[in-house]
Amino acid sequence: MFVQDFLYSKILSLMPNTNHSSEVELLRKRLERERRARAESEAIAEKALSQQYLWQKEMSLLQSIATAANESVAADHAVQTALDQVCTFTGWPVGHAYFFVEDNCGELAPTGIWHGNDTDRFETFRKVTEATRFKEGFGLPGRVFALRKPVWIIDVTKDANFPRAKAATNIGVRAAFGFPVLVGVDVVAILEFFSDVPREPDDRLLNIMAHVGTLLGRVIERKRSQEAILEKNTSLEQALSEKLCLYEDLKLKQAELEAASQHKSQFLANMSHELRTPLNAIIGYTELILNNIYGDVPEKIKEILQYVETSGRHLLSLINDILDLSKIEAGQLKLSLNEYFIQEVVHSVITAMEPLASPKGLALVATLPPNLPIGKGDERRINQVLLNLVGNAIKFTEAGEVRVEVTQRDNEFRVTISDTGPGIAHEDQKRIFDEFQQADSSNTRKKGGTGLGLSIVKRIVMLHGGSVGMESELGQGATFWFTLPTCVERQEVL
Amino acid sequence: MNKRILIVEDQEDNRRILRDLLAHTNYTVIEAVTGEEGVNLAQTSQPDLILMDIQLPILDGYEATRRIKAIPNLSQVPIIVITSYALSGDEEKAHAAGCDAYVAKPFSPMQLLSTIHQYLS
Repeated sequence: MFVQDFLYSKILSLMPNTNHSSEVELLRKRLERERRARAESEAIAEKALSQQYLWQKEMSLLQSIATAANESVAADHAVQTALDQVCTFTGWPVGHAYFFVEDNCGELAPTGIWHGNDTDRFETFRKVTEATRFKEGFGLPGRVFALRKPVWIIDVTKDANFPRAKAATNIGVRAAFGFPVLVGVDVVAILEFFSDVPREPDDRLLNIMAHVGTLLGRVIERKRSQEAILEKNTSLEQALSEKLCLYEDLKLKQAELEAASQHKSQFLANMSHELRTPLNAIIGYTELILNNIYGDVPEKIKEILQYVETSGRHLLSLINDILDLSKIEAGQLKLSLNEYFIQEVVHSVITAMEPLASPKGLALVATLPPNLPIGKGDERRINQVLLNLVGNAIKFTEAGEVRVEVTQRDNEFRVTISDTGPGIAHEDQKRIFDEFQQADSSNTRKKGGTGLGLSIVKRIVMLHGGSVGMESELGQGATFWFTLPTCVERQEVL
Repeated sequence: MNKRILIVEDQEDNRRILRDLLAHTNYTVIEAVTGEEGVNLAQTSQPDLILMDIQLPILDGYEATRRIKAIPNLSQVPIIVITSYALSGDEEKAHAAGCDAYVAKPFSPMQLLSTIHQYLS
């Protein structure tokens, strides 16, 4: 009993017969006012308390959806969690989700994601639902989609825009609400819920559902980007493993190629040996006959035998060139680096080539400055380079001179071989250092030569770390040059 | 007495070139077909010069040269190595084995003859 009530009855009992009735009446009225005020405040407190309780319930709904959704692996799981939680929160028996179809048809497609305890009862409704897509504005999901806001239907059986009404009537589906799951402003999904009795709209509930929709949207967005990243990772891993496979393949191929290259070199060395042996007999016997070892030989036959000998020697130079080139290609040509005198190399080449120049009436001239330093390189190979270039110059020059000039600057020898021959056309100059190229392919037969000489020259010079080049104008002779570091300590890798 | 030249060469064609080349000289030719035979003949016939092929079966020209050079009363006999391997390093190998001169196949018989004259004069 409240204190005021107690006091009031006490007063009345103490003063039953007094004449102060007006005073008592006044007191009674005051107490009555106070009692009303108290009741009102109690009601307010009670309401506040229930509001507080509801608010707590809503908060825990949002929290549990957020937590469960975050823990779920895929977007589907997050949606399922939300359906279950909302149904538990509202006490509504059925929940279902639609996903927006991302193929430009602008439709909402039903999913197999449901909440419903009484599956037998909702079987038909479920089948109808899962067979129906909704366009914007149609049915409950279509309306939610159009408004991008929650929608409430008091009784679906009496709703003009609820295509599934027939299936719903049979099983007693009545009230419904739906809300969108938004990623930014885009609807990615719609969740719908059904009650088995008609219900008036609950704005507060719809407001909470809008929050659930936004919350779910964020989770779905995150899940989707995680899925995308995962997918990307998987495809990257796949690409990486493909690359690794390719790399292994390449390594294997390279090893095979190296082995093949070794075989090729060995084959060429053997072939060269096998070719030289009969060639030795051809050249040897020819020379013996020409020297009358087997008796006197008529001039006519000697002339023919000289041709045999020349051809034999040409064949020999071909074999030598091919062997050289294949050794360079296989990286097996090892320079033997020793000290040498460049002037000695030039003189020995001039001496060796003189017999070819003089019959044509060509002057073979060497210009060497005094005090050239001692060089370091493969003398035999440098000799080969110069022999080749001077030989070419003599071969293609019919009149005038062939000049060899050596200069030295910046720790580099520069050897220039110039002739007064026909010159080389610009279009032929580009590929003149390539294999099997001659300025004019008809020259190969007319002038002899393998077309390998210059490519060997280029490679030998490059192995020394030098460079080769040429300048020429048609009709004005040609100038070939190469440079060599004065002191080559190690050979270059080509 | 004629100077004696030992030819160690397994191929008849090449032996014949050398034989024909030397037939017109005053040198006496002794022929061996294998490396082993070459080493034995060198000891029994005491040649004044040896022409040694490198590509010989079983005992190659390098090894035969090495063995001959190791025999005290033969160490001064000049050995001219003839090879058709034109790979770099062959000449070094030949000299390392102790040969006095190196000729690559195909050789010019007349040039070889003048080299022989040099060593025997």
